Amino acid sequence: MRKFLIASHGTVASGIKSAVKILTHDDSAITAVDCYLDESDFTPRIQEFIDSVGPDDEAVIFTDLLGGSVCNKVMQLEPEKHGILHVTGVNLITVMGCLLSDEPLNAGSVDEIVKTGASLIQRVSADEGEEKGDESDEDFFA
Amino acid sequence: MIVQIRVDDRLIHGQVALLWGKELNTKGIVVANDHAAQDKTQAATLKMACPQGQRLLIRSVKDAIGVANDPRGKDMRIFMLTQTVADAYEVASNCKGNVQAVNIANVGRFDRSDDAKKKLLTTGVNLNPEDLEAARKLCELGIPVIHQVGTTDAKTKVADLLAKLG
Repeated sequence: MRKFLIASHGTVASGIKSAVKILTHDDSAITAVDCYLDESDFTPRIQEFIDSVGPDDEAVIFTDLLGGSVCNKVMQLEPEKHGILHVTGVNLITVMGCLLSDEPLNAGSVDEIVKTGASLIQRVSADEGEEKGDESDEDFFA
Repeated sequence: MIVQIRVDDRLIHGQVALLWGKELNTKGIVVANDHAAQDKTQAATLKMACPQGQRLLIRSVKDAIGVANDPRGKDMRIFMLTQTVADAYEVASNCKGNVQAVNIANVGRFDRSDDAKKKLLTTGVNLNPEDLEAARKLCELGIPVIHQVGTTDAKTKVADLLAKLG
Protein backbone atom coordinates (compact mmCIF):
# COMPACT_ATOMS: atom_id res chain seq x y z
CA MET A 1 0.00 0.00 0.00
CA ARG A 2 1.10 3.57 -0.65
CA LYS A 3 1.24 5.76 2.42
CA PHE A 4 2.22 9.40 2.62
CA LEU A 5 2.77 11.79 5.48
CA ILE A 6 3.06 15.53 4.98
CA ALA A 7 4.41 17.56 7.90
CA SER A 8 4.66 21.34 7.81
CA HIS A 9 4.85 24.56 9.74
CA GLY A 10 1.19 25.52 10.03
CA THR A 11 -1.48 24.25 7.69
CA VAL A 12 0.48 23.67 4.48
CA ALA A 13 0.20 19.90 5.13
CA SER A 14 -3.58 19.77 5.56
CA GLY A 15 -3.90 22.32 2.76
CA ILE A 16 -2.08 20.07 0.29
CA LYS A 17 -4.16 17.11 1.49
CA SER A 18 -7.32 19.15 0.83
CA ALA A 19 -6.14 20.07 -2.67
CA VAL A 20 -5.35 16.41 -3.45
CA LYS A 21 -8.88 15.50 -2.40
CA ILE A 22 -10.37 18.07 -4.78
CA LEU A 23 -8.15 17.04 -7.67
CA THR A 24 -8.11 13.25 -7.33
CA HIS A 25 -11.19 12.66 -5.14
CA ASP A 26 -9.14 10.49 -2.80
CA ASP A 27 -6.78 11.71 -0.10
CA SER A 28 -7.03 8.59 2.06
CA ALA A 29 -3.37 7.68 1.52
CA ILE A 30 -2.24 10.99 3.04
CA THR A 31 -1.71 11.79 6.71
CA ALA A 32 -1.27 15.52 7.34
CA VAL A 33 0.56 16.83 10.39
CA ASP A 34 0.22 20.60 10.83
CA CYS A 35 2.94 21.53 13.31
CA TYR A 36 3.25 24.42 15.78
CA LEU A 37 -0.42 25.35 15.78
CA ASP A 38 -0.32 24.76 19.54
CA GLU A 39 2.27 23.80 22.14
CA SER A 40 1.97 20.06 21.58
CA ASP A 41 4.80 17.80 20.42
CA PHE A 42 4.13 16.60 16.88
CA THR A 43 6.88 13.96 16.80
CA PRO A 44 4.70 11.14 18.25
CA ARG A 45 2.32 11.54 15.30
CA ILE A 46 5.20 11.16 12.88
CA GLN A 47 6.57 8.19 14.84
CA GLU A 48 3.11 6.60 14.72
CA PHE A 49 3.12 6.90 10.93
CA ILE A 50 6.62 5.40 10.69
CA ASP A 51 5.52 2.48 12.89
CA SER A 52 2.46 1.88 10.70
CA VAL A 53 4.58 1.26 7.60
CA GLY A 54 5.04 -2.44 6.84
CA PRO A 55 7.59 -4.14 4.58
CA ASP A 56 5.14 -4.30 1.64
CA ASP A 57 4.22 -0.62 1.86
CA GLU A 58 5.65 2.20 -0.26
CA ALA A 59 5.92 5.21 2.01
CA VAL A 60 7.11 8.78 1.61
CA ILE A 61 7.30 11.55 4.21
CA PHE A 62 7.15 15.08 2.83
CA THR A 63 8.33 18.06 4.86
CA ASP A 64 8.21 21.72 3.96
CA LEU A 65 11.68 23.24 4.37
CA LEU A 66 15.18 21.84 4.14
CA GLY A 67 16.90 22.69 7.44
CA GLY A 68 13.60 23.63 9.07
CA SER A 69 12.78 22.07 12.42
CA VAL A 70 10.03 19.86 10.98
CA CYS A 71 12.43 18.41 8.44
CA ASN A 72 15.12 18.01 11.11
CA LYS A 73 12.77 16.23 13.52
CA VAL A 74 11.75 13.80 10.79
CA MET A 75 15.40 13.11 9.94
CA GLN A 76 16.13 12.33 13.59
CA LEU A 77 13.40 9.65 13.51
CA GLU A 78 15.43 7.93 10.76
CA PRO A 79 12.58 7.02 8.41
CA GLU A 80 14.97 5.48 5.87
CA LYS A 81 15.75 2.69 8.35
CA HIS A 82 12.10 1.69 7.94
CA GLY A 83 12.25 1.87 4.15
CA ILE A 84 10.53 5.25 4.11
CA LEU A 85 11.69 7.98 1.71
CA HIS A 86 11.88 11.59 2.90
CA VAL A 87 11.36 14.51 0.50
CA THR A 88 11.57 18.11 1.65
CA GLY A 89 10.41 21.29 -0.08
CA VAL A 90 7.00 19.71 -0.64
CA ASN A 91 4.68 21.00 -3.33
CA LEU A 92 1.31 19.82 -4.59
CA ILE A 93 2.45 18.39 -7.92
CA THR A 94 5.20 16.32 -6.29
CA VAL A 95 2.76 14.77 -3.83
CA MET A 96 0.34 13.98 -6.66
CA GLY A 97 3.17 12.62 -8.79
CA CYS A 98 4.06 10.11 -6.06
CA LEU A 99 0.41 9.30 -5.35
CA LEU A 100 -0.45 8.60 -9.00
CA SER A 101 2.87 7.18 -10.23
CA ASP A 102 2.66 4.05 -12.36
CA GLU A 103 6.18 3.11 -11.23
CA PRO A 104 7.05 1.53 -7.89
CA LEU A 105 8.23 4.25 -5.51
CA ASN A 106 11.94 3.99 -4.72
CA ALA A 107 14.80 6.48 -4.39
CA GLY A 108 15.34 6.57 -8.16
CA SER A 109 11.71 6.96 -9.24
CA VAL A 110 10.99 9.51 -6.51
CA ASP A 111 14.05 11.54 -7.58
CA GLU A 112 12.52 11.75 -11.07
CA ILE A 113 9.14 12.88 -9.70
CA VAL A 114 10.88 15.48 -7.53
CA LYS A 115 12.84 16.75 -10.54
CA THR A 116 9.61 17.21 -12.51
CA GLY A 117 7.84 18.79 -9.55
CA ALA A 118 10.67 21.26 -9.01
CA SER A 119 10.82 22.14 -12.70
CA LEU A 120 7.16 23.15 -12.60
CA ILE A 121 7.94 25.95 -10.17
CA GLN A 122 8.38 28.75 -12.65
CA ARG A 123 7.42 32.29 -13.44
CA VAL A 124 4.61 32.22 -15.97
CA SER A 125 3.74 34.78 -18.59
CA ALA A 126 1.06 34.75 -21.25
CA ASP A 127 3.55 36.40 -23.61
CA GLU A 128 5.97 33.52 -23.42
CA GLY A 129 3.62 30.62 -24.20
CA GLU A 130 4.86 27.85 -26.44
CA GLU A 131 3.95 27.82 -30.09
CA LYS A 132 1.80 24.75 -29.47
CA GLY A 133 -1.84 25.31 -30.37
CA ASP A 134 -0.96 27.87 -32.99
CA GLU A 135 -0.25 24.89 -35.16
CA SER A 136 -2.16 24.46 -38.38
CA ASP A 137 -4.75 21.80 -39.11
CA GLU A 138 -2.06 20.11 -41.22
CA ASP A 139 0.22 19.67 -38.19
CA PHE A 140 -2.68 18.47 -36.07
CA PHE A 141 -3.66 15.73 -38.48
CA ALA A 142 -0.07 14.84 -39.49
CA MET B 1 -13.23 10.93 -34.88
CA ILE B 2 -14.19 12.95 -31.83
CA VAL B 3 -14.17 10.28 -29.13
CA GLN B 4 -15.78 12.62 -26.66
CA ILE B 5 -16.88 16.23 -26.46
CA ARG B 6 -16.38 17.24 -22.85
CA VAL B 7 -18.32 20.25 -21.64
CA ASP B 8 -16.08 21.74 -18.99
CA ASP B 9 -16.31 25.38 -18.02
CA ARG B 10 -12.60 25.39 -17.23
CA LEU B 11 -11.70 23.90 -20.66
CA ILE B 12 -8.21 22.35 -20.29
CA HIS B 13 -7.12 21.98 -16.70
CA GLY B 14 -5.11 19.48 -14.68
CA GLN B 15 -7.86 16.89 -14.37
CA VAL B 16 -8.42 16.83 -18.10
CA ALA B 17 -4.73 17.01 -18.90
CA LEU B 18 -3.62 14.29 -16.54
CA LEU B 19 -6.45 11.84 -16.59
CA TRP B 20 -8.85 12.08 -19.51
CA GLY B 21 -6.40 12.09 -22.41
CA LYS B 22 -4.97 8.88 -20.98
CA GLU B 23 -8.36 7.33 -20.27
CA LEU B 24 -9.74 8.06 -23.74
CA ASN B 25 -6.41 7.27 -25.42
CA THR B 26 -6.63 10.38 -27.58
CA LYS B 27 -3.84 11.88 -29.66
CA GLY B 28 -5.09 15.43 -29.87
CA ILE B 29 -7.24 17.97 -28.05
CA VAL B 30 -9.45 20.48 -29.86
CA VAL B 31 -10.71 23.39 -27.81
CA ALA B 32 -13.89 24.70 -29.45
CA ASN B 33 -14.39 28.13 -27.96
CA ASP B 34 -14.93 31.47 -29.69
CA HIS B 35 -13.30 33.49 -26.91
CA ALA B 36 -10.18 31.32 -26.59
CA ALA B 37 -9.74 31.32 -30.37
CA GLN B 38 -9.19 35.08 -30.40
CA ASP B 39 -7.83 35.75 -26.88
CA LYS B 40 -4.07 35.35 -26.58
CA THR B 41 -4.01 35.18 -22.81
CA GLN B 42 -6.62 32.46 -22.55
CA ALA B 43 -4.91 30.57 -25.37
CA ALA B 44 -1.63 30.78 -23.42
CA THR B 45 -3.22 29.20 -20.35
CA LEU B 46 -4.65 26.38 -22.43
CA LYS B 47 -1.31 25.72 -24.08
CA MET B 48 0.34 25.61 -20.69
CA ALA B 49 -2.20 23.11 -19.41
CA CYS B 50 -2.01 20.86 -22.46
CA PRO B 51 -0.06 17.71 -21.64
CA GLN B 52 3.09 16.85 -23.56
CA GLY B 53 2.39 14.36 -26.29
CA GLN B 54 -1.10 15.72 -27.02
CA ARG B 55 -1.56 17.86 -30.12
CA LEU B 56 -3.67 20.94 -29.58
CA LEU B 57 -5.94 23.10 -31.71
CA ILE B 58 -7.75 26.13 -30.32
CA ARG B 59 -10.56 27.05 -32.71
CA SER B 60 -13.84 28.94 -32.84
CA VAL B 61 -16.89 26.68 -32.59
CA LYS B 62 -17.50 27.12 -36.32
CA ASP B 63 -13.94 26.16 -37.24
CA ALA B 64 -14.01 23.26 -34.77
CA ILE B 65 -16.95 21.82 -36.70
CA GLY B 66 -14.72 21.87 -39.76
CA VAL B 67 -11.99 20.05 -37.82
CA ALA B 68 -14.44 17.41 -36.57
CA ASN B 69 -15.70 16.78 -40.09
CA ASP B 70 -12.24 16.76 -41.67
CA PRO B 71 -11.72 13.39 -43.39
CA ARG B 72 -8.06 13.39 -42.24
CA GLY B 73 -9.30 12.99 -38.67
CA LYS B 74 -11.45 9.95 -39.41
CA ASP B 75 -9.03 7.47 -37.80
CA MET B 76 -7.50 9.85 -35.27
CA ARG B 77 -8.77 9.72 -31.70
CA ILE B 78 -9.61 13.33 -30.82
CA PHE B 79 -10.83 14.81 -27.55
CA MET B 80 -12.86 18.01 -27.87
CA LEU B 81 -13.61 20.52 -25.14
CA THR B 82 -16.34 23.13 -25.04
CA GLN B 83 -17.28 25.58 -22.30
CA THR B 84 -21.04 25.40 -22.73
CA VAL B 85 -23.64 22.77 -23.55
CA ALA B 86 -24.89 25.02 -26.34
CA ASP B 87 -21.45 24.92 -28.02
CA ALA B 88 -21.35 21.12 -27.63
CA TYR B 89 -24.77 20.86 -29.27
CA GLU B 90 -23.68 23.17 -32.07
CA VAL B 91 -20.74 20.86 -32.84
CA ALA B 92 -22.51 17.53 -32.29
CA SER B 93 -25.53 18.46 -34.38
CA ASN B 94 -23.32 19.59 -37.27
CA CYS B 95 -20.94 16.63 -37.11
CA LYS B 96 -23.24 13.63 -37.15
CA GLY B 97 -21.27 10.39 -37.40
CA ASN B 98 -18.05 12.10 -36.31
CA VAL B 99 -18.83 12.58 -32.62
CA GLN B 100 -19.10 9.45 -30.48
CA ALA B 101 -20.26 10.87 -27.15
CA VAL B 102 -20.82 14.02 -25.14
CA ASN B 103 -19.87 14.34 -21.49
CA ILE B 104 -21.49 17.26 -19.65
CA ALA B 105 -18.96 17.40 -16.82
CA ASN B 106 -18.80 20.87 -15.26
CA VAL B 107 -20.94 23.82 -16.37
CA GLY B 108 -22.28 27.08 -15.10
CA ARG B 109 -19.78 28.52 -12.65
CA PHE B 110 -18.03 30.98 -14.93
CA ASP B 111 -20.60 31.94 -17.57
CA ARG B 112 -21.52 35.22 -15.83
CA SER B 113 -25.20 34.71 -16.51
CA ASP B 114 -27.91 35.16 -13.87
CA ASP B 115 -27.55 32.38 -11.25
CA ALA B 116 -31.22 32.74 -10.29
CA LYS B 117 -32.27 31.54 -13.72
CA LYS B 118 -30.05 28.43 -13.63
CA LYS B 119 -31.24 24.93 -12.92
CA LEU B 120 -28.96 22.58 -10.99
CA LEU B 121 -28.94 19.32 -12.94
CA THR B 122 -26.42 17.69 -10.60
CA THR B 123 -23.39 18.80 -8.58
CA GLY B 124 -21.17 20.90 -10.85
CA VAL B 125 -23.76 21.19 -13.62
CA ASN B 126 -25.77 24.38 -13.21
CA LEU B 127 -27.54 25.12 -16.49
CA ASN B 128 -28.74 28.49 -17.74
CA PRO B 129 -31.87 28.40 -19.94
CA GLU B 130 -29.85 28.20 -23.15
CA ASP B 131 -27.72 25.30 -21.92
CA LEU B 132 -30.75 23.48 -20.53
CA GLU B 133 -32.45 23.65 -23.91
CA ALA B 134 -29.23 22.49 -25.59
CA ALA B 135 -28.97 19.54 -23.16
CA ARG B 136 -32.49 18.42 -24.09
CA LYS B 137 -31.70 18.65 -27.80
CA LEU B 138 -28.37 16.83 -27.35
CA CYS B 139 -30.20 13.86 -25.84
CA GLU B 140 -32.23 13.57 -29.04
CA LEU B 141 -29.20 13.18 -31.32
CA GLY B 142 -28.87 9.45 -30.69
CA ILE B 143 -25.34 9.50 -29.23
CA PRO B 144 -24.51 8.82 -25.57
CA VAL B 145 -24.83 12.00 -23.50
CA ILE B 146 -23.42 11.42 -20.05
CA HIS B 147 -22.21 13.20 -16.93
CA GLN B 148 -18.89 11.92 -15.60
CA VAL B 149 -16.47 14.28 -13.84
CA GLY B 150 -13.44 12.11 -13.08
CA THR B 151 -12.35 8.95 -14.88
CA THR B 152 -13.14 6.83 -11.83
CA ASP B 153 -16.54 8.44 -11.16
CA ALA B 154 -19.77 6.72 -12.18
CA LYS B 155 -21.36 7.65 -15.51
CA THR B 156 -24.86 9.13 -15.30
CA LYS B 157 -27.16 9.51 -18.29
CA VAL B 158 -28.04 13.17 -18.79
CA ALA B 159 -31.52 12.15 -20.01
CA ASP B 160 -32.16 10.58 -16.58
CA LEU B 161 -31.01 13.76 -14.83
CA LEU B 162 -33.25 15.87 -17.09
CA ALA B 163 -36.20 13.57 -16.37
CA LYS B 164 -35.70 14.12 -12.64
CA LEU B 165 -35.69 17.86 -13.22
CA GLY B 166 -39.13 17.51 -14.82
